[in-house]
Amino acid sequence: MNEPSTQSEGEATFEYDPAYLNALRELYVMGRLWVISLVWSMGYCALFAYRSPDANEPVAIIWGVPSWVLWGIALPWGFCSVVTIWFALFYIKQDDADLLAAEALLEESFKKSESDVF
Amino acid sequence: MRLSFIDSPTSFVLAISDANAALVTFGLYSLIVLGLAILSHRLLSSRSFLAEYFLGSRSLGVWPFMFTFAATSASAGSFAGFPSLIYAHGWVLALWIAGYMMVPLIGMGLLAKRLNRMARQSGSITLPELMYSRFGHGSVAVVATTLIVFLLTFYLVPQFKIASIILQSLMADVPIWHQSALLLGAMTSTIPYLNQADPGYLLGLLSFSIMVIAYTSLGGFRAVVWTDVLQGIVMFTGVIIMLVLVLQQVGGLSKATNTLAKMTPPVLCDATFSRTEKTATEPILIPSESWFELDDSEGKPKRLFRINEIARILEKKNDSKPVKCVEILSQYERDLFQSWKEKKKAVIVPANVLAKVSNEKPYQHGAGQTGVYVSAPGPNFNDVNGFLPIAVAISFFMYWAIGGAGQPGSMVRLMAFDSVKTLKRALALLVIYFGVIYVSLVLIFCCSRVLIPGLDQTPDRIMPLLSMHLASTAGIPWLGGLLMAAPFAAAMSTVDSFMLMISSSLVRDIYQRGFNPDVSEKTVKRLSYFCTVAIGVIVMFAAVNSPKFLQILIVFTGGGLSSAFLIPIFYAMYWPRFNNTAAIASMLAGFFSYLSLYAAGVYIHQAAKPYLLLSQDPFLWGLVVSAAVGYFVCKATPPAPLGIQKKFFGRGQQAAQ
Repeated sequence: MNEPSTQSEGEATFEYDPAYLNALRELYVMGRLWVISLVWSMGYCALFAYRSPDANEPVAIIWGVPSWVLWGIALPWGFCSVVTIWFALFYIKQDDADLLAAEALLEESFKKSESDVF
Repeated sequence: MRLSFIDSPTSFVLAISDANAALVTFGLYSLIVLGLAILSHRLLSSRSFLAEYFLGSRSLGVWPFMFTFAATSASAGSFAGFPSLIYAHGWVLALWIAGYMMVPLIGMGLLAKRLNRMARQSGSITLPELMYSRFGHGSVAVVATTLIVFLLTFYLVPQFKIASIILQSLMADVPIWHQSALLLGAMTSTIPYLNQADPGYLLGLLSFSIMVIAYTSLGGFRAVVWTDVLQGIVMFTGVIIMLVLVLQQVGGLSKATNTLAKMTPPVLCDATFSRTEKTATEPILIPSESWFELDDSEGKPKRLFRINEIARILEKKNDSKPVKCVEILSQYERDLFQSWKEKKKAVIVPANVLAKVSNEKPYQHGAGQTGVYVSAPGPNFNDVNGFLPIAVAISFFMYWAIGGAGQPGSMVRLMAFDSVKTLKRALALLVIYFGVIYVSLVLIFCCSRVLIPGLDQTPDRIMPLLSMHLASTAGIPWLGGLLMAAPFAAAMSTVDSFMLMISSSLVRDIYQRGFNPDVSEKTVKRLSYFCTVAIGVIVMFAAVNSPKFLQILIVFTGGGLSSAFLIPIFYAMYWPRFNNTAAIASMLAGFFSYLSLYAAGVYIHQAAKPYLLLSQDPFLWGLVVSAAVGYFVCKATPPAPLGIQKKFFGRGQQAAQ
């Protein structure tokens, strides 16, 4: 995936913040997973969950749940959960060291100024 | 016509002991909540007031952040409305809630990193303040503040009402509660506006309001977060215990689903009771959920009914008013009744009254069909197309994930965590938390129909009734109080967050920025306390006689907030060029297109219902219009000032104090 490293709209240009570029990259992964889950879950259920009022055959039940719930909802739910946990723990970039350092400095100077006053 | 009856004193004894246990549980819960508020109030004095009161000094760790996000998302509807829908329509609710598989990722992940970073860079405490910093213009903040204050105030009224009803149900059989309600009724009987409300409801409203106003105004954001943690733990524990008990008592999930597959929807009707001895004058009370049989057709089995409301034959009167009732048709439910009857577990209409059934109406979709509770679209009393046609299911799939992301209440939480490391861990935990809660709720309440049949006219009572049933059967009465505290906790956690949001908008965004930028911290403190209390009191009075269409008001305001805020905030976070004019246009276009579809629905249906264009929720159309208008207006107008673009999107920018 080619991502811009500098601003391309408007008159002037500047270098993009790596944290912003990371967030964009993470956004694409979220979008893809959302589309996969939508197509899988709604597609399967549209085909197999709906039952005609005239249907004679009983609804298949596996492990205590209707089969369409197992394959069309429980399985994609489990898949999305695993991918989301992987995404959260290993894919999201921990890119706020600059902010944390700056805030620590601000906090320190705030405490110092308070101790000067009292 | 003949009535059979069995006296059931044991059920009343159980009800009283459960009620006292509920009172003790609720008392303990209230004490802990107030203790947390006092602790956070102490912390307030040691930190910068505004940042601490409205944003917890932006220092939320993994567990508080996860719990406060989850508790704010889960309103009373999750523990009162959702169970009643599962009870009424069966397994199809798994399809209805399927979008929750993406709620942690989209709801938290979509905006969290950018929103938190930009709030830190600009030192923003509220959402309108962040918009002001991002666009460099006050007009966008004014529009945002107006929408937040207007919509959230409307949103709070039904939440107060629902919480009060839950509290009233929780305390229904506690003697001291009845005495207090009578006393309050006597005190308010001459006050014009207050005397129109039921004293029991009024007492519930007053108790809830005092508690929520006290801890929110006293402790601010941190108290809200701490109580959210407590409430989140209560909800999680309650659901797990319920799941274990329900599976144990129903004999396993397979047995429950196979039984459900054989059930057919009942016939809904009204029942009227009259005295058999016309000379008697004493009042007769027939408890809700009492059973009766009618032998009105020769050669056929007796017809079986269950009432869903209390029936009263008043002193010196011969007949009761009509009460809601269902005719049980499934063989399993009839067998269950026979077994309860033999064990003297069923409360049955007494022998000294006769029953008459009228206004019998079958389900429009699913009547007489087996398997309807384990397949889509699910039975529906009102609609021949069933409960959830596939187009509506797709609409809900998108609504849950995207709608949650667009709630300003959730956005404020995203501004409050302390680091990306916290976000990563909280997101992973939220997946587990939501997965356990919502999957368990579906399993529990699919089994609930097998355990407690015949509640179809008042399915919203299934949560308290099942809690009491499970706890009584398991021989742990205090558990009933804990289980019923879950929906109450959910209502509280939503209300406290929104009260604080309105208060912060009034103090920070309107007063401080608009009128008095140099206001002293002392004045800000007083104003913040005053605003939080005032909002709570105003909403409490509005809830005394609130409009009838509570659910539609909740759905309308929730969808309106997402339609107005999600797209402008999303563009603002990810599109450097996005400017003030486009943000205002996008916000107003989203909100007014959403409002138009509701107005069209009211005009077309002559009822409080939205117009579903192409079977999709108005909220989704609001998003589409908001996105299109925001995009084209931005392209047609000059980009955001370069300084702002550099500040929020350029390399090497620092945090603000």
